[in-house]
Amino acid sequence: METTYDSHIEQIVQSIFTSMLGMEVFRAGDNPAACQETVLGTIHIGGPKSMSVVLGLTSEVARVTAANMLQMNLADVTSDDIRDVAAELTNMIGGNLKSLLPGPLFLSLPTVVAGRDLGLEIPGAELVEDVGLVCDAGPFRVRLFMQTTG
Amino acid sequence: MRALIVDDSRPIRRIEGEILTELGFETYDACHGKQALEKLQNEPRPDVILVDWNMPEMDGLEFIKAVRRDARFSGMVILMVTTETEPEQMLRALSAGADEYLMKPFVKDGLIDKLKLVGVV
Repeated sequence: METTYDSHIEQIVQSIFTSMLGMEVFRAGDNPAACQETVLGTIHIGGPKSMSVVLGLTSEVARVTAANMLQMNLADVTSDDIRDVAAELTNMIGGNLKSLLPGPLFLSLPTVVAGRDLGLEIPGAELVEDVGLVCDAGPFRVRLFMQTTG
Repeated sequence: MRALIVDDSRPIRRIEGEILTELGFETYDACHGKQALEKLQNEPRPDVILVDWNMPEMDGLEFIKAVRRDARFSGMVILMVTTETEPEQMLRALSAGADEYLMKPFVKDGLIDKLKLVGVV
């Protein structure tokens, strides 16, 4: 039986959003692809079975999470704030997910891209989880890719 | 009381800085271990260092080892604050010389509890 990580991802994100952002998170419906992402945070978990974790945020969720983490007014949030907070959220999701996987594993530094119509492709990896979530600011998603080729 | 915050994440430096400032600490920060070592040599000695693990240039584990090897920095309290949440990693950090270990995400009271545990609050 294959291991699934969706409930772990949901719990990890809930824990991060509650403790660091003061925001509640719930599981979204069945169509996470409907979420219009403008910020993508990616982190790689390297090891015998390498994985990539991708946090996809809409512009509104990205702005609100940045404002909450940095305790700023929404109007004052800059693109740097958004990228820095998305990177840290991605880092915390990846790090906590790593602890659930058989090791030894290492965690990369997170990377963030922002823009419209972002395409996402991770060569040699297949999508194994696509977890749609929703917070007060709107929907977002976390995807987990597993390496299929060396 | 002075605190050095070492983390490549600006949000984390800011959050930790605000908590420490509320507690009466004067804070300064660095983006990675190499920069933190330079600041330790050039700025007044901190009472406590909060350090992340995964950072560019020099990671937190290497930074802790470097601090513990250098007699000029003896007795400094080091708290590792990191997303590396496996027990094996915690043991590695403590073996390298960290005094305590806090996992991200954390809440304000969690950080304060750890600071109390290491005796700086």
